[in-house]
Amino acid sequence: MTILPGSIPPDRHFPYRQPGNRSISAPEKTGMLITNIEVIPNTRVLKHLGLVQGSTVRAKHAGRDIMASIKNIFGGELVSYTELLQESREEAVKRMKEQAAAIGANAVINVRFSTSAIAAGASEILAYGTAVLVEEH
Amino acid sequence: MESLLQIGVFLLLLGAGYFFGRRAEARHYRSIRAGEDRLRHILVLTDRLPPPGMLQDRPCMVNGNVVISVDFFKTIVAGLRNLVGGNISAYESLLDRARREAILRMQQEAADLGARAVINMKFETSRISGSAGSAVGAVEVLAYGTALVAPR
Amino acid sequence: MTLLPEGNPRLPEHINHSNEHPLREFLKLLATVVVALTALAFAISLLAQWLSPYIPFRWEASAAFIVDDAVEQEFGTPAFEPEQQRALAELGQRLLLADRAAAAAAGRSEGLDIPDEAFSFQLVESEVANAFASLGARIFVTGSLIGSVSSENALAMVLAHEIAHVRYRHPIRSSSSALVLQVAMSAILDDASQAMLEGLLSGTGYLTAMSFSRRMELEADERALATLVKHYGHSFGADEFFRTVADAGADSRWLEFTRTHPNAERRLQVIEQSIRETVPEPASPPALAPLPPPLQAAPAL
Repeated sequence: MTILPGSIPPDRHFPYRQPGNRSISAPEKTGMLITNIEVIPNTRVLKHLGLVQGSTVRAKHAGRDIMASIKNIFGGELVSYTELLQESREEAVKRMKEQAAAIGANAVINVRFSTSAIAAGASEILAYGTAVLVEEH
Repeated sequence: MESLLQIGVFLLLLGAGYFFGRRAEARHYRSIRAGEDRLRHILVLTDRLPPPGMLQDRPCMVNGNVVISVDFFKTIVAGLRNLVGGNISAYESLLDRARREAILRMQQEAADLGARAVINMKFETSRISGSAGSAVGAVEVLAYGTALVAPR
Repeated sequence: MTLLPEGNPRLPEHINHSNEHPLREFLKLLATVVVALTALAFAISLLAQWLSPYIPFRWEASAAFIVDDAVEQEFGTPAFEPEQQRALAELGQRLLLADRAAAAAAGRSEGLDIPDEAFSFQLVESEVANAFASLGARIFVTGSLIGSVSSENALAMVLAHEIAHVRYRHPIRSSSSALVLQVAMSAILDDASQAMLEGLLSGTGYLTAMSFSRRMELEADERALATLVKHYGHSFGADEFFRTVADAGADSRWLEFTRTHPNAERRLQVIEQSIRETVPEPASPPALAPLPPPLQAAPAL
């Protein structure tokens, strides 16, 4: 299989997620449910607790920067940046869950993400939602 | 000689940024915590539907925004982080302050209307360029939502 | 029934922003960056110095017009008489022959592939007394330096020293490491930091004020003394210029020279050693050759 500059090799579409390795948002991993819907099926919301947010501002480092400059000539996916932003997103969600756990919630509903470029090379990832206490029906 | 002067000016700006910036940040956090205590009764939720009990309330859009500038010390630390990598805690605290301040201002507007809660709250964050174009000048955070005003 | 809370929750403080003291973080980052950059600069500089002598002189010569432009920019068009320029060039050519002869006698062959015709000796106007060798076998001497030496021997020492730098390919070695460092800097840093760093290092004058390492200077001195001994039979008078520099110390005219030529005292020792070896009777030293007539009137600005 020839890999031309600018292409994405097929087995690299999801480098950070292998079959069988569930995402960090899965409840059985951390005990907290994250969702962007209003009503979770088969559950009843016992109590609303309030707004929780988690955010990170991550910088790339010099090595990734140089690779990116080179890729600017050839094109193609910047895998190191993809991984960087994915790590940032997971960290932001983790912080949001930390805030939710601190006030006694076991789920966060109506979650929204927001990404903004703060400076050249630094992006802020924000995750926010309403922390609630749910129980299964 | 000239380079010594440049280093001197740089260190002076760095010191001023550190000293005044840290003081301003500490003061701002104190005022944020006081404001959060004061406006704690205005609920802020990201729910899209009004909670039961408020289904007859009058909806009214409210927002609050704030623009906070970086200081020189934060800029330099971020520049170094860009080489080494990792979380830029200087900007994280800046954005945290800005978000909480924006929510407070939105809650204040809701309180002025006599509302009990703000639902479907969203954030918009944007960067305002500095003098050099690519440098961070300031960050603007907008918090907006629908305030539910109890019927008379 | 979903219960609404009394008010917004009281959230713990340091989840979304760090608790670490900002100064501590700054110093840690600074230390990391400084160490890494120093190591990288050192490695790049070593690599460039090791590889650059393999650049053929022909290539260096074809790029030498950059040097001419840089010199023109810094020193302006010189206002010297053609006889003065010719006198300097003629002395230079004589020394080139002596250098070849000395090298042949000692069995050394470095740099002899550079043809004598490629060398150019030029006078430039400046308030500071200085002489430098740059890329493409270009050797420049300032009028102030001519005005401050009293014998041809002293001037010959300076010229032979610059010739030795060219023969040992010191210009390409020291300028290529500066050049590679500049390229590396522009790849890593963004424009603002790069400008600041350049201002700090004031390193864009490397074509006209090249500073060589101490070892390079001592090597060049050694070769220059051998050339002098071949041409005049002794190295008496070679120390005049360096003695003036060592004595002058902080005199503003010599500041530029001392900045680009550190280590003057050690070099003076080496020269004096050579004089002791080549002058059999210190009590009756040999006669010094006078400066060529056109150069005797060179103004000391």
